[in-house]
Amino acid sequence: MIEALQYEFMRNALAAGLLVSIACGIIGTFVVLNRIVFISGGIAHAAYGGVGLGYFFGFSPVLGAAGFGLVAALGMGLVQRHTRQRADTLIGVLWAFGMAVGIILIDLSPGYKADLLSYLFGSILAVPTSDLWLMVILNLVIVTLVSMLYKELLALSFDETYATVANVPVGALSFVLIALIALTVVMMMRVVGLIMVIALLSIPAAIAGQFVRDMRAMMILASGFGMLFTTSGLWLSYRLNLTSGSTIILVSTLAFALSLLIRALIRRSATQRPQL
Amino acid sequence: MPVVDVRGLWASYEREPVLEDVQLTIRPGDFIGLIGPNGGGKSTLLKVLLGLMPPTRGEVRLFGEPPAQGRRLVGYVPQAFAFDRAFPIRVREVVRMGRLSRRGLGRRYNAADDAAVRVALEQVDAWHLRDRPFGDLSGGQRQRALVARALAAEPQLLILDEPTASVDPQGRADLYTILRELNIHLTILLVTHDMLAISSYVKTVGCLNRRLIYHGTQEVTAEMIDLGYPCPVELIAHGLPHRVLATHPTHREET
Repeated sequence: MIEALQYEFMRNALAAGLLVSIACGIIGTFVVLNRIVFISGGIAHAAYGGVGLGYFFGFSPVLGAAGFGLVAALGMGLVQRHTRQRADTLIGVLWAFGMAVGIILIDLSPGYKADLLSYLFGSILAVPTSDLWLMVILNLVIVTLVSMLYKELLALSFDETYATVANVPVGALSFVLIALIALTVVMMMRVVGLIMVIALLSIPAAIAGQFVRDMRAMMILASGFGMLFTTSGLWLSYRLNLTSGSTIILVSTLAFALSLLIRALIRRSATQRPQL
Repeated sequence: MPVVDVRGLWASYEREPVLEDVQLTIRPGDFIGLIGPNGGGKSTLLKVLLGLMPPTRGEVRLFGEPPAQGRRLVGYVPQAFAFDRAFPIRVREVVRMGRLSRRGLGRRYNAADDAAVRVALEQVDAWHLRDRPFGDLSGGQRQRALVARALAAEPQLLILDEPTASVDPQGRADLYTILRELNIHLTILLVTHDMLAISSYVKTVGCLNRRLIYHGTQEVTAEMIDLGYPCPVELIAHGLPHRVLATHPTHREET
């Protein structure tokens, strides 16, 4: 790994992994606690429509993905909050619609489209320095908003009805949260690709959630796990010459399985030894 | 001014009326136990009172204001078993949520909030639980923590939705004893299935099955029996105090 860091693309890849992990840890905690993993997956896939728009009209596909992702996120948020039944069906439909729009628009666009797959499967080895700055800015936005609205977001996640009765603007806050999810998802697209975004968003938070008693600790620990997985996944993919995004996800998944096992063992020893 | 004033209230889901022409006046110092069959509209009435659901007809006032404003003086205690036990949160932080309505958006909790949290936890005899994870508590402890959260808002009306649904008998008696003490300074509306509360702790009983029967008395009247609620039979069968069932309930009129 050390000798690999003499290359700029490796340094950028490492930095991208670390930066994305911060957003993942914070936003992923809300995704897991609010049980909106499915919506997050939907946003990620629908964002592909924006990639297609970018290609077709000749602007940055990342910008397109961010815009389309935001619109899809707000749509899904509306569906989730105001539909009485089968919100998941409608979210699934939006999910597929976004992807289909993206693919058709790309079909219709003239020219060379070699890096298309990179949006689907990630291209952490091709992250330019300008993207790193975008990630820094987004992280700052996330950290600032979440620390300003921490007590309200905690209440919203723990007990939405009570938050409403306490006159917390839960509708507006849910939309802030879902917009942050959309932006995080687009930022992660570079690292692991749209298809595997949900894994990196949910796994570190899910592992952290098993071992902490406090939401803030869950965010910090989840960010740490994210950094561990992206760095070790990157190193493995370099040594074994494998696709980096998929290697990162595989490392995360194995760690998740391991954490379930450890958790089960802790529970077992706790029940066998009578409490004092 | 009445704490709660409900006049001619109708509420419905998908055009199916759940509440029909409900009248209810709650005065300062009241301790009302609201009984009624499942699906009788108890939860709906609470939702309307808390401004979580608009009525289809009628008028609802909390402390003379619409529910969305008046509810800042209400301490709401939801059912404890509905919570995600794996949620990483300590008792202290749950109780601190009671201060949300007093500490605006983007402002941090301060020492006054911590003091209110302590007072609230001590009132329900749960200060020693402050650093425990909420999900690790027993049913009774969790319910007491939720009462503390409601108290931390320094309310004038406490609304409890079946607080003893997941609580063992000792925990139930403890909780009712706490409520009776709180009633010295607080008005309480308690929705319950628990006959222990109805027979020994509340001051007055109402019965809701789409229509509300409430006379401001503690007896379960024949009207309530007519409404289809089986509780009086249960009461007699369990040999609970006779004062629960009025001696000549048929001719009782609203005062």
